[in-house]
Amino acid sequence: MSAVLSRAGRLWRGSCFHLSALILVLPLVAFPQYFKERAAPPLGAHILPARQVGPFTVTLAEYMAGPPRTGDYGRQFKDFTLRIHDGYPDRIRTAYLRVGKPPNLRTLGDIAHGDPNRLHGEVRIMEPPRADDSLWLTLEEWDGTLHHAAWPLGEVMTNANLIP
Amino acid sequence: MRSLPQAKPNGETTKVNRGKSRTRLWFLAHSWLAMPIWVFLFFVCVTGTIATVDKEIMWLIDPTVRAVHEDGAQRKPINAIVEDIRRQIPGAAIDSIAFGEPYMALRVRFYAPDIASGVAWVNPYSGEVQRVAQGLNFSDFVVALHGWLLMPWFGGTAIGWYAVTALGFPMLGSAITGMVVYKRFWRAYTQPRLRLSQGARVFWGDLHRLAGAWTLWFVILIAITGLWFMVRGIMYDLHMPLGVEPPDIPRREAPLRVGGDPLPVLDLDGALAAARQISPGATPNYLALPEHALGTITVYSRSAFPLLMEGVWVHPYSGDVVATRDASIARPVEVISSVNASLHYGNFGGLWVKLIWTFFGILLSTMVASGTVIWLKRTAQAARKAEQQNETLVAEAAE
Repeated sequence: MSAVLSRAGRLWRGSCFHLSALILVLPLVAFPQYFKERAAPPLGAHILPARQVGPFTVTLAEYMAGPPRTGDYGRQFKDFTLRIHDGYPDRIRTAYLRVGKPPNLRTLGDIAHGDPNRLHGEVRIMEPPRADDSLWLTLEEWDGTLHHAAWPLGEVMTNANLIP
Repeated sequence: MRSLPQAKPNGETTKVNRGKSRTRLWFLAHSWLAMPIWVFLFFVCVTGTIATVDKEIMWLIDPTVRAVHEDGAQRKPINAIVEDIRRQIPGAAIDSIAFGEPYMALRVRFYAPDIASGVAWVNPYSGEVQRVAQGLNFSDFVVALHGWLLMPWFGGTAIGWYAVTALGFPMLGSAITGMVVYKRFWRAYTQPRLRLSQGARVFWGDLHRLAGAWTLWFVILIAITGLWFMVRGIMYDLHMPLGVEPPDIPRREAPLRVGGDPLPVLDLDGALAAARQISPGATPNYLALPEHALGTITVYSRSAFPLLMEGVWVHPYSGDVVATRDASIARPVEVISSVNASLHYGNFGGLWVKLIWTFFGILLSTMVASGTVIWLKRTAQAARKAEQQNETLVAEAAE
């Protein structure tokens, strides 16, 4: 028994200083996930049915389920992805996303940006979101024509603990 | 062989012995700072060393990332390059163009209907798309492995980022204790000594001390700049802004257009020229196209003082400069971060500076390895002997 223990003790003393090699297991474990993340992703975790906005068909997706994330200065944001099936950027100049109906032309919302095939909208959440609030999408054509659509937040924010 | 400090029977020590025991403590500290983590530290040093020439390694193994051209050939204007790319990759929407070193092909990020984030390597002389890639390339992989162990970023700084940047503490500690235990280390600058023929222990000891003296500046530089990356990681986790958002133009300044008219064409060469006019000494190295119809063209340049970066944002339709950002108006944290990144990567002065960083990176990796070898050969053996003789372990002080 004591011989086994002393052999274990020797083994430990002989190898304990190489144990930091174990941290290299982390990249090995992360490896597949990392590449999965980079592969062409679906629009988002929660893809809503396509719908008609004026003459255009759009698909909106909640990028990740859950409550808003915290961004710079502690501001709250919710990420959405938008696919405009035909017409961006040929016919549509800008797509805006906003919680609540836009009160005027200067506050249409956050501009969806980036990949034209899957536009990314970072929607600023100003106050605790309520289930009966709406996410408003405004499409503006190059000639200035506007088209609106709205979704109840309860439909586009899942697992987000919305105020009923 | 030095005599070991002996405690007097009554427990007092002599003045000399107290000095020696202090040396011993410094020596123990020097051993223990890096020894228990040596594999991890070695891994980070080696991957960091590779990362100093990551693009150059790609250049060596992959002809499609080279800017091959005939003697005397001229680089094409960027506007023409963009046309070439659109012709070769139908439906490509270009996100950004990175210029890199003169011998590298342009690295063009783009979106396409079936490619979420593609990279096209484009010959700046012919406009030929030499390769289309998706996902991580060798450079991205090495940087991610070195910087955060490939750990995922889920809304906050990756754990691997903290694990790696925390190595700045033992590195700094090793440098400081090394200067104390290696008496008159500056003699290594005037009288370098590397004895090859007196056995492994002597060789590794000499190598460790010699490399230690010559890499001292580099160890301290890498440790401190590494720790600043930790500060940035913490700032990111605290949601403090690390840069600036590119400015947008007012909605009324976007052109009206009726069906059938061609889309407005961006003048990227004009944007580069505008940036050069603002800051003639700077070298543009990155160009980002507007992210939407009201976005601006971004031009990032390495400043005339090459440790600094600066940004210029250009109106996509009028070509006017909308905003600039350089060291004179940026917040201190941006300026420090800019200098910090340049010093850590060694990418601020072309290939030769990179190779200097690679050389010292190799020496730094050698330090970790030789320190470990010494410890295993000397201290571990001494410990075994001491154990056998059932005596207290007394480490031999450094020469």
